[in-house]
Amino acid sequence: MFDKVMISVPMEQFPSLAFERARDLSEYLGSRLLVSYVIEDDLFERVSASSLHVVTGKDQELWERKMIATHEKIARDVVVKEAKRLTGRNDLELRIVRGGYAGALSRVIEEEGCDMILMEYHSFDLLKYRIMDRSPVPVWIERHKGPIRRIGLFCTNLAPNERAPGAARKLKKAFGAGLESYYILDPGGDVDEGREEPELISARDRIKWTGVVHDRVESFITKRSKENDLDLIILGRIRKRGYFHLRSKFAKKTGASVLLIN
Amino acid sequence: MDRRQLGKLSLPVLLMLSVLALPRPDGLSYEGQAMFAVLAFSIPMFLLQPIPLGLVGVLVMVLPLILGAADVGSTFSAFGNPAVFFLIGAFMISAAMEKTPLHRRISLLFLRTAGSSPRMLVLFTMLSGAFLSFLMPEHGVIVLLVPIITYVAASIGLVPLRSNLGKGMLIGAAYGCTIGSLGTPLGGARNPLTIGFLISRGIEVNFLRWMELSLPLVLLSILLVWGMLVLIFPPEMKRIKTIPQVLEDELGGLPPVTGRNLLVSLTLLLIIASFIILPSLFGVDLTLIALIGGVAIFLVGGMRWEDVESRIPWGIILLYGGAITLGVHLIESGGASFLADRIVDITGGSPFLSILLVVILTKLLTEFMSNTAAVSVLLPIGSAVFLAAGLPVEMGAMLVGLSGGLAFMFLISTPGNLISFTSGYFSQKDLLKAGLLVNLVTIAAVFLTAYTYWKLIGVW
Repeated sequence: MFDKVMISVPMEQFPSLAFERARDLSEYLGSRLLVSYVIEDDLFERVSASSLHVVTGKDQELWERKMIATHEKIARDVVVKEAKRLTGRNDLELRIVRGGYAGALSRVIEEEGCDMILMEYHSFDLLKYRIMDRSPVPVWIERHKGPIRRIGLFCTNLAPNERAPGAARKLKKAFGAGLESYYILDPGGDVDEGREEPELISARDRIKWTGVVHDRVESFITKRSKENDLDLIILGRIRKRGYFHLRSKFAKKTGASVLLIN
Repeated sequence: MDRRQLGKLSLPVLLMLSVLALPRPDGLSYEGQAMFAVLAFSIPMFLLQPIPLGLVGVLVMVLPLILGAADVGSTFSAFGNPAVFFLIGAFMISAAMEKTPLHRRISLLFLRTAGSSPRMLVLFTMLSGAFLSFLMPEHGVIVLLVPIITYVAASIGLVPLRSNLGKGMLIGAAYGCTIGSLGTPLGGARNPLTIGFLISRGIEVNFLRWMELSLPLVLLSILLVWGMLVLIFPPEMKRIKTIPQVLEDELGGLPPVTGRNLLVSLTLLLIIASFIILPSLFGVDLTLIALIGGVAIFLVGGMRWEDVESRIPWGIILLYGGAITLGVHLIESGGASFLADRIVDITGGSPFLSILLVVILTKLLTEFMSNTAAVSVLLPIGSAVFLAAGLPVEMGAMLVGLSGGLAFMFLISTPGNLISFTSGYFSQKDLLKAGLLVNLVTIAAVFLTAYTYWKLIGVW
């Protein structure tokens, strides 16, 4: 993990914070960086649907061609230049992809062998978070500005916990941050089976739990992050009904960045 | 049709049936009530668009016939309004303009005039959009302009969503086209609709008269909106050193002016001059000039018949038919005057309140639905309100026609906002922030123009 990090740049957001975090990852962990600029089809489809009564298909086609060429220029001349400045790296790679946001990024991950996606928190368009379910690699949603001083690891009986503890330890060391670790037994999952897991993880990953608690994951993580002023929340990719929006809400509610690991 | 579309369709149908089922108030004919039912159907249809707008236009034409509120003759003869043919001619002229590199040259020359001042660059971006929208429909202009402006923004290194200058330029491009489209009958599809409506009421508004009423509003709005934009998005730099070179390179890269291009450009100029001069001096009809102009462009090689077929959005012609018949039937059935009387009971016939009410109502509606649709719904009502208040119909119709074009706040407000949004230089939040303030400013501008300048020139 963290060998080759892909920073996603959607058309509707310039991810300055994500680039700044990429600088840290590259500096502390030696990660190679790939910038993925996504020219999103659905935006053009929206234009087509809304303006067909005033702009003909032919004009839309010509316009779309020009806009795609212009976006390629923006990606090459502006985004990469700014990304180099923010990351302090001149050896950034660039991929310009077209399609749906999640689908296009999944393609790049596969083709380029990236092992993490770094995206910026996006309050407006929740569909961007579809990538969290489609990505085979961890997703880092960057929200916290500034250095990472406190990391919270949250393992639960609702998620696979194989890789999250290892990642937490690695990042703790890299950032020189404090780490607090919790195992949450959520009533929405198999509680009995979960009871044995904390010890197993503790032995396997040399994790000393700050606490093993019975609570709902969403309320516990939000509360603990706020109270302890966490900068980064690390957790497994939980399968729980209604959880899709909540994962992005962790970033919204707590102001912390979130790393989701499957 | 999928489930979602059917769901969207059910609300307009339910509303229409509800209005039909209501007890008829005294003083309202069955035809009037039926037309209110059509109105209740068409407003959510325009808002939700479960089917393409052109088809909504067809339904709006057909429903009064089905409900027995109008006869076949009056319905389809309304579709033969000269404004419909004016629009066809205007689109033919616009198609030729799009084919020549003239628009690109004009917009780049405008940008060059700004020099290296970022604030001036925002102003001249707006002015280039406004000027081109005097000559062809605004949506055609924004489609041409956005790639140019985005390219220039990228060439001077403006970072998408972070550069205030980028935000100002791209939002300014959309707003410039929107405001400029008010300037002449060619600028926005709703303008000929307003003229057509006035013709059906026996009032003639020629090209020059339209400009006389609208141009001061356009200039005032451009200046006010520019001021707002540079205030909301203060440019991050004092000078743009690279822009003169970028624009010189762009201008130098344009294809050389060929003999044919020159001939087409001259023909276009001649057509525009004819629009301004001939109706005022010799009483020549606008539609005649538009159609002859379209043919002339064809003859000088400015376009081929395939261009006419592929570059005229026929959907809007159908929407037009529906819009004009809706207006005619609302008036003939007595529905418009019935509603207007109730409104005048509230406003007391005060010019101040009548103007304010019509402007705000139109602006609200146009933010959420197609400009043309909003204008078509409100033209008969707005003008009836003015008539009932003892004010000229021309004033009411022009107020609706002009305010109906001013949509700024949302991506759905006008295709221009969405097209400019695809540049990636501003967010929906930026548009909302700018649009909210710009709406207030333009409401004030329309009100001031109507209340003072129109009074001065004797409109009322």
